[in-house]
Amino acid sequence: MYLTPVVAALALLAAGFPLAFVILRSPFLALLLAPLVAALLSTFAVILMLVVGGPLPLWLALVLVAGAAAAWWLLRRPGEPAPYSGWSHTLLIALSLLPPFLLVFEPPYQWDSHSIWWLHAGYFSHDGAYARTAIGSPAFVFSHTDYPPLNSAPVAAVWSVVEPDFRTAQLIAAMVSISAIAMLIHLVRRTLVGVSAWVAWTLAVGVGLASWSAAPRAVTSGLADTLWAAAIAGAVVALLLGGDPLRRPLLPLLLLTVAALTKNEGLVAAVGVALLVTLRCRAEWRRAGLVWLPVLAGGVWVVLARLAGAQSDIASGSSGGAFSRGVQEMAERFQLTMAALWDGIGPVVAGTVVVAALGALFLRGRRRAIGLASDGWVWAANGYYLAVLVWTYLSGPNDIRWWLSTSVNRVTVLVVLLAAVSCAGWVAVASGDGRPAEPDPVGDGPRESDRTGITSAATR
Amino acid sequence: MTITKRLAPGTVVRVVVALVGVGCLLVAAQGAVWASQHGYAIMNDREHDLTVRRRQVDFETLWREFVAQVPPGSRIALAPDQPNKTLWHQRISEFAALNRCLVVLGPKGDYVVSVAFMDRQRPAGPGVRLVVRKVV
Repeated sequence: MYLTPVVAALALLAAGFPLAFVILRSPFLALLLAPLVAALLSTFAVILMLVVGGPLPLWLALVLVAGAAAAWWLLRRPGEPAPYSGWSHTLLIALSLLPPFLLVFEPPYQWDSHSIWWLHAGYFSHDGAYARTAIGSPAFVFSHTDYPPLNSAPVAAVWSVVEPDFRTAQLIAAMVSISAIAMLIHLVRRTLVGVSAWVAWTLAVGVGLASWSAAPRAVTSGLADTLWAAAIAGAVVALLLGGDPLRRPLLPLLLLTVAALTKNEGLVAAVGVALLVTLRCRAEWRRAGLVWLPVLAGGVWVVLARLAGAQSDIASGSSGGAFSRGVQEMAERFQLTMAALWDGIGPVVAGTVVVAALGALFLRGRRRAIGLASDGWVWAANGYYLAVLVWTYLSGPNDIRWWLSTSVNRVTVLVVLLAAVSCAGWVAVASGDGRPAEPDPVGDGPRESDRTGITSAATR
Repeated sequence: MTITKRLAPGTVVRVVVALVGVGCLLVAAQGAVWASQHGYAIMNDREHDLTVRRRQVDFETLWREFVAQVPPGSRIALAPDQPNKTLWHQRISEFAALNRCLVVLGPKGDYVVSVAFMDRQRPAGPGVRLVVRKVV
């Protein structure tokens, strides 16, 4: 009875493992990244199928072979294991995520999972001609056929070779989301190099568990919201919080691409991150330009979906929507939006703002010492996304009460995650000994334990 | 004689930042705690949340009946007088996409598909059945 989900899960790990290993150079942590890479590969297969035509299994086979060849070629180049990617670190991340992952046993019943993501997986699982017809079909307008394909593509890949079933779909989507959260934890740990190991790991796991804060069911029920939010948060940690953002750019670029190809909000957030990284790294603008590649990938999907006849409710309804409404109606929409935001995430975000304000006033010097960039970058990314979110609610075509009640908890996951990232940074600063941070250790072992010893001795 | 030791202002700020920061992260982790508890309960009792379980059984029953009764590639129309129309029209559309069928608007389909309701024989048994009418 459970054979199909188990085989599908193993296939997902196997499909993504070669490139995941090349990116991290660690067989252990690569297992946690593999579902995300497999989702990205299946997304490329879906896009090629839509452009060229033909059945999905054919494109899947070609993309997997190309991915394996690219992995083999890249492995010949010198590389070193990512820091904190040993078996013990991987096990720590996996064990911390296992308890909330148990919610994957909940029956697959979520409205949007069925009406959006698995419906899309259904039409992607056949062939290019049928998928293009379905995307432009007026009967499927309710399904937001303009949404990017990454959350549906791995499910479509499985359904293109076995009989569709929703339990398998839920497990596959949950594994991809958990993979993004695992990378977020890994990147936070990698960035907090100037504090003791147990503080850094506790904070990293704390940030990861915040993924369940605003919408606990969104992680394991087939929805896309936590997937793109965790991917963006991971990219922000690597590119805007760390001291040397372009040193290991592959993983954050992969995360940005995942976000841009998962949901329209993810693409909007990826644009904001790309702008901020370009601004931050303007001295190295050629390398910083790499962050626009994920935005380009998201843009390719937008063009493709429009060419196939997809309609966007927000894009078609918001042209002049804000301006055609009266001042009173706009004020009411604004008040309702603010009230819903406060009810959902207000206390946590307010607390982190207090932490950030105190830190910025009194602990800036210590922050520089442990190798963290200014917290302003994280809050700039958060403020940008929050502003776009509020404007969307103000200008969008839907009844505001219904719209907020059905979406606000899911679309604010990123706001909480970035607030948690900021908070973790300041707690690390407050708990550190103020000594200058060393560069990333290459692997496990003495340097990490030495640092722990030094830190605990200094704070005694 | 008592000796009072003043804490440096920097130390006070560090303690406050650490405590408030950890508090925020703990509050943010509440959802994960809920998910763990709820997931564990469901793992041990599949009918822990009967409403949700019934919905899944209904969806899976309808999907099996759709595959059995509607050939792939068919054009299907949705019954306009369907009770709980939004939910069931969207489910039938989903099954159509999974089975490579086209949903047509208006009376041009090969089949008209709707959902009928029935009493559940068991607490977690199906409460719906698929009604497929061939258009002649």
